[in-house]
Order: sequence, then C-alpha cells, then structure tokens
Amino acid sequence: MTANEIAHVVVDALTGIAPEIDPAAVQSSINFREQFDLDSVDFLNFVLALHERLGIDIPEADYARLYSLESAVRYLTEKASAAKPSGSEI
Amino acid sequence: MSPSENWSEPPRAPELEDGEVHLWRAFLDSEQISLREFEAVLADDERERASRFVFPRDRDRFIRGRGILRAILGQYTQRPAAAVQFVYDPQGKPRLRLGESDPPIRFNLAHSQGLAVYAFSRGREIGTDVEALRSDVPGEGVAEQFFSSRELAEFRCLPPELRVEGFFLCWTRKEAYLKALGTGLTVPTGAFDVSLTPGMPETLQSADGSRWTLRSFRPGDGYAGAVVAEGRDWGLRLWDWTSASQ
Repeated sequence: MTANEIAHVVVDALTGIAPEIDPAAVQSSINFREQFDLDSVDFLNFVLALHERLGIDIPEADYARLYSLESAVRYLTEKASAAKPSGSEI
Repeated sequence: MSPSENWSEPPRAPELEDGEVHLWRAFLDSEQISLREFEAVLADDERERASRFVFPRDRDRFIRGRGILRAILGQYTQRPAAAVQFVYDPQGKPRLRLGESDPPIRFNLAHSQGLAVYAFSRGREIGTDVEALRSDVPGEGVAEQFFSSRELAEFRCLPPELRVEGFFLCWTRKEAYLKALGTGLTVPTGAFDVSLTPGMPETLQSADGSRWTLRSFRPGDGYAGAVVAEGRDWGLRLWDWTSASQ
C-alpha cells in the first residue's frame, strides 16, 4: 500500500469511531486528541480498526506513534513495508 | 443525572491533609459553569491548544476542564487561578510549579464524555481515570489484547449483563495505575493485575504493588472511575464542583 492509501485508511478508521469528524478537517501534524475530544477507549477502538483494516500488529509500546495522521502514516507505512514479502524479481 | 450519594458540596477553602486524597468531579457541558470566566484564566499555550479543537463542544470542554483545574489548584495553594503554573515531565504528565512555601500538591485528571474527575494529594504520586460505560467496545477481543491472563479469566467468568461494567472497572483501574506511575506505556497493560468483578473489592497486584493503594469510585450514573495513590494510609473525600458553582 502507498502512504496515500494508508492515510485514507487512517482517516477512515478515525471517522469510524467519531462519525462527526469531517475527513477534510483532520490536520496532519496535530495530535488527534488535541483536535478532537477522544478518550482512551476511542483511541483503543481506533487502534483496533487500524489493525483490522491493515492486518498490521501494533504493539502497545508503539501507540504513541499513532497520535497524529502524519506520524501514524509514517509508522504504518514502515510496518507495511517490513511485512511485505521481498520476492525476487525476474 | 442525579449525583452519586458521596459527592458533596465543597467548603469555600478546602484543605488537603496528609492522609487524604481529594477527588473533584465536574460536568463540563453544564451551562452553569461560565465559559468566559475560565477562558480568562488560561495561559497562552492553553488558549492556543483550545483553538486547535475542531468542534466548539470539544473546545468548550477543554476550556472548562482546564479552568476548573486552575481554580481548584488556586484554592489549595491560595493564589488566583490565572497564577497557577504547570510544568510537564518527559512523559507529558503535568505537574504544579510550586513555590517554596506551597504545599507539595500532586494532581491528575481524567475526563470522558463531558465528565471530568480531578485527583489531588499532598506529596503522593497519584493517577485517576474515568470512563463512560459504553457497549461499543469489542470486550473479549480487547481483553485478550490488554488484560493479564488472570484478568482475562475473571472477565470470562462474568455473566453477559456484567461484562460492560466489568470491562470498564478493569480498564479504569489499569489506567489509573499507569497514570500514577507516570511512565506512559513503558509498562505493558498485561504485566499487572487488577480485580474487575462488579461488587467485589478492588485489588491491584503489581511488582511494586505494596507502594500503592487502588480505590474505585462512582463518578456518576453510567460512569466508572478509579484512583491510585502512593501509600496505604489515606482516605477519599469527594467534592462536586458543579454543585459548588450553582
């Protein structure tokens, strides 16, 4: 997946837990919890949604990397690349 | 919402004794809490943070929540709310910038769906959490990921009608402990145990469990709350900010 596709998944997961959020209003570099009044359970549902949609395991120690759109896309892109089979080219 | 039975109207000048933990609650959507009054006492960085919220409701909750924190700390340290200053530790936990003559106040706060809870102690590290009871959490899946094996076994024994409450008793107790530690997520949530069966005593078992005491409380109808503070020799006092502001 490209970073752009992952960004769509992240915003989709966010609006899934808080449907009142306008996807266009999400600011990339600002902590989600400073833009929207999300509590820890909202955040937990957000992490679980990312795991389900991307099939990526996200250890608790990495949760801080999901706090903003920019940071989450960078982290998830790294994880997706690392998980991709390296298959040889002909 | 009717107040829980133990939340009292606070005295005009509350004093925080060594053997006490004070909890305050405030309903942040209450029209009786003046927004303009609290906006005026915020620091520049807090006003800037308030301005980042997309929705007016979230912004107003932040302003009221931070303003009330300043007002309470101002009462304990006998200074205007606007003169209260915060410092932040490396994990982002806010602390009060104390003068030499100030009491060694520690505090922590939590909010969920418009209800804020503030916890204060005199020199004891402290953490609190509050959560609205809600059924949109995939209980078993979350429990498998975040609960310890002992907690998971206890959770699975609960009848269906107690599962939502049991889940949030566990969640708030774990969060309160992690917030008291102030180390963020460096301690895995599955590395310590709390009890979670509704109606049974609250317990905390951790590597440093003898350092702490855990108490659960009822912040209001439809909410669960917990507080963890250092030591064994303290009692809880519950103050209701909203009734004080009427």
